[in-house]
This record gives sequence, structure tokens and C-alpha cells, in this order.
Amino acid sequence: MSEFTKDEMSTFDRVSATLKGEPTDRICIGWLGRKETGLGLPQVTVADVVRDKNGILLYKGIKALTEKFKPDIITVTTYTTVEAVAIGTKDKYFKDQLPAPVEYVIKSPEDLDRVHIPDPRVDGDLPCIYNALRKVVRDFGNYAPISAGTVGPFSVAARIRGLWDISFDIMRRPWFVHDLLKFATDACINIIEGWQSAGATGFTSGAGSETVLSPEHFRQFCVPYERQYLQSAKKMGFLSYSRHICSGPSADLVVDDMTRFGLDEMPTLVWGYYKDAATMAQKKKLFAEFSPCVAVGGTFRASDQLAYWSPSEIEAEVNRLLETCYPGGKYVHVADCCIPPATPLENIEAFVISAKKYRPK
Amino acid sequence: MVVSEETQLAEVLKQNVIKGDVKATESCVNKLLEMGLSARKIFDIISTGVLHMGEQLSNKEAFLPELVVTIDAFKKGLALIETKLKSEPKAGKPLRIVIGTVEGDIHNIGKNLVKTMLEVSGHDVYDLGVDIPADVFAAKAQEFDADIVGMSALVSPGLMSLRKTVERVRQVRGDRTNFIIGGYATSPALAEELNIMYAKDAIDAVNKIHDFVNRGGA
Repeated sequence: MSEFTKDEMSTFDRVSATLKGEPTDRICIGWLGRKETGLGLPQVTVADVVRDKNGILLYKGIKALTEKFKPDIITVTTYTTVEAVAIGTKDKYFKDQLPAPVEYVIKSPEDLDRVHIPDPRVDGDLPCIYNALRKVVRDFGNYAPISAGTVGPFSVAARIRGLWDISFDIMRRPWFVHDLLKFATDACINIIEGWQSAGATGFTSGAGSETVLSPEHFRQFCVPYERQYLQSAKKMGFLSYSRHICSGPSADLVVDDMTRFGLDEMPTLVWGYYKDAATMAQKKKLFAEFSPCVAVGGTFRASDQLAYWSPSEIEAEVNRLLETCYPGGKYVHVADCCIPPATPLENIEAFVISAKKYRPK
Repeated sequence: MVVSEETQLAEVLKQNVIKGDVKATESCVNKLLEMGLSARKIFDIISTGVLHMGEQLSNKEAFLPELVVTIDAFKKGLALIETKLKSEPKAGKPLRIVIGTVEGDIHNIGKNLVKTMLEVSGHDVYDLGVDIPADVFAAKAQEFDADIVGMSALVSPGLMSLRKTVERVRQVRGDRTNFIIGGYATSPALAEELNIMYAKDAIDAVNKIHDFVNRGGA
């Protein structure tokens, strides 16, 4: 049986069929965020977009990307320390790249009593996402599934404490790490409640911090809190879960433990860093043993292949990737991580068009 | 074969550094000082512990939390010998290395780790910090008469700064300074294009620089 149907599908049907491994009319295209600057937004910096509390610049960027590339999933997001900044971590903002932390809010266990769970409508730069999300849902809610989320409990904890210090705490005072994680989990849950009220139907999680842990520490400090986050999202009524694996020293090892999150709780996409196409194909089979409705995506390196290669090189590499990863479906076409804001649009176009045109040999 | 008390204690000290056991590390350092071992030899022992952890990290047998406590034990041990160490001569000629994270990037864990590994390998390291403009790299390389400039770049916009830094340092110092790069945004292909060294992790940086010295560099 061909894995492609002849009839054109809606994005909702395409995404649903992809996750189940059923035939689709073409490959499912995931979100292509490159922090939304530069496309139809001349002279707008990354800092302008992510700090715009009305979310208008973010919305305009998402609208432009959606209309140009017609992805099957839209994710409303800005930067990976946005939750921590809303809690009190201080970031440095850049013109052409994502903000990054310069001072962490939790310097001692006592500081945990001084911070509060952020309100996504009010605190830090979260209102940018909230307000953009409402506009995106208004305009594209009938076109494609719309997701929003957080970097997940462990990465939020690492971004309010600092990765070096939380690593030290894991070895010397694990009780404090659990206190941090309880707070971070509550923060993540409160934030996605806000996203749901703004109309998101899918929720997201994952960033790089947890991939500096050994598998044993990952099971101890990441899995239980991610499960709580996932189960709360399910109770709230979210329909899908997008889980990112960021590259890090233990990414190759802890990826198998992501099955412990409970992939059968709801339809799931596990996307991001895989060592290579063959590994991603192998993990697709592994995840399928844990859930009938789980797909993979990623591997294609955003920071060099997508940002610096030529469109023809990208097209050739996409075809090589798909030859290995597409058979059997359950594949969503996305890059492995955040697309650098300065990535040429013709490169993103080559990445998308080559996948949309793809047919197995 | 009879193993001397000093040799036994040296091995215990190394293991205590690897485990990140601060109290036991300090106790061993004090005992070895009482036994008359030079600060330089004690430094070499605790450095071996850090380098061993670096190998484990490279082989994915240990990860950041394990490394953090190893570095902590190393620093506590070093604090006990630091004054004496400064008054003792170094064996061999250390390389002068200027290191930093390039402009537009403020990640520092990888850079700090490489710095520690190079220091424990006996080199003189001048750490510029993070978000360092090309001109500052060039000026410090000149001031420090650097044999090597090490640059870390985790995020891709940093690659433009990295290229600019190589160009600027070459303008100022010609071929007198070599380069080593590392971090997620960098790659062997980029290093080859720029004709510089690439390190996949901290221990690889130490090995590449060791090879560079053996080839007659600096």
C-alpha cells in the first residue's frame, strides 16, 4: 500500500494520520519558527519581538510564516528562558539572537520563598506569547492545530537556579533540587493553563538542561515532574504533547527514558536532536512500542545545515533524511532546534518544499 | 613490589577529587604537605583527577553534576597549596592561551571547563569571559602574546563573531597565534575552512593542544 493518499487532506487530518502512522497526502510539516523576525518585519530585532507585551510583532511574524510556508502545526513561542525571566531571572537581550540569562533568581533555598508562580497574562515577557496566541488562534485556529508551552519543569528549574548550581545541588543537596522542581512544575502548569485559556490545543515541553544529566539523574529529577506536567495538561483538556530533545552530552542516552513520561497519555511528537537519521528511525520504532500515536521529527541541524547550507544542499539532505525516516509515517518534518533568526528564507523554503514534494523512490 | 605511603596517598587523593569529596581531598592534601611533597606535585595529582573526570565526560561515563563536584574538590585542594605553588617553578614551558566566549553568546560552562582542563594541564590561561568582541580578543592576544586563542560558540549567531575574531587576531598578530574552537555551533568543517583546530569537548581541546605542542607549535 502506498503511504500517500491522492486526496488533499486538511492540516488537522494530516497531523492526526501522521501521528497514527496512517497514509497522508504528503509529509506533515511542523513548526518553522525562526523567532519570527525578518519576514515582513523590517528593522525589527529579536529583542523587539520578544518584549512586545501586546504580542503584535510575534503575531505578525507567525502570520507571515504561516501564510508563506503553510505548515501543519503552529507553535506560539519566543525564547527558552521566558518562564525563568517571568520568575525573576535576568536576561540579556540581543538584536539577532534569543535572550540568555546573566543572573539567576534563586541563589539559595531561602529565595524560593521570595518568588511567585508567574501569571502568563502579566509577568515578564509571557504576555507577548499570551496575546500573540489569542490573535493566532483567532486567525488560524480553523486552519491548523496551535500549540504553546514551556521548556518543562527541569529546564525551568535550571534557568532559575543556573545549570552549574543545580548540578552541584543534585550531588550535594538533592532535597533542594526537588523543592526547585516542585515550584517549577507548578509554574509550568500555571503557564499552560493561561495558554489553554488563550486557545492553544497542544502543549510543548523540553529544552537542553536535562541533557546534561546521567540517565539515572534524568529518571530521578526529570521524569517524575514531566509526568506531573503531562498529566495536568491532559486533565486541562490539551489534545497533544510536543516534546523536544535538545542536544546535550547525554541526549543520546536519555532519549530512551522519554518513554517514561507516558507517551500514551495523549498524541505525542518527540522532536529535536537525534544523532542521525538512522537513530531517529530506530527511536520511532521504540516509541511506537509505548504508544499507538507518537511521531518523531528533527535531526536536520538548524544551526548549521539550515542556516548556512545552500538551498540545493538542503534539498538533497532532506531527501536523504526522508528516505530513512519517512517509511511507516509517524514523521513530522521539523529542524532539530530553534532556527537562527538570520537563516535565509530561501533555505527554509528549500527545507519545506523538498519535503512537500517528496515521494519515496 | 612495595608501594610507598606517598604513592598510596596520591592515588587516594586523585580518587577523592574524582568523587568530589572535599573533606577527604583537603585531608589528603594536608597529609602530603606534611610529608614534604612539593605543591607542584600535589597540583599534578589533583589535576590528574580533573583530567580523569574529563575523560569520563568525553566517554559519557559521567555528566555535568559529577564534574561540578570534581571541580569543587579540585578548587578546595588547590586553595591549600596555591601560595606555595606560585613560589615553585613550573616544569617545561607553558603555552599562553587566551580564551573566551565570542560576542553575542553568553554561555560559559563549556568555556570554563576547557579553561580548567588547560590550566590543570599546565598552561597559562587568560580568561576573557563571555560575549567578547573580536577587538578585545585581538588586543588581549597581543597583550598576552598568546600562542593560542580559544573561542567558544554555542549559538549560531556567534559564528559570525567567531569568523570576525579569527580575522581580527590574524590582522593584529599575523601567524603568531593559533586558534581552537568548540561549542555546539562550531564544527570540524568550520575549523577546516578557517585552518584552525576544533575540539569536540574539553578533553579533546587538551589533546589537540598537546598534539599542537608535539608538532612544534609555539
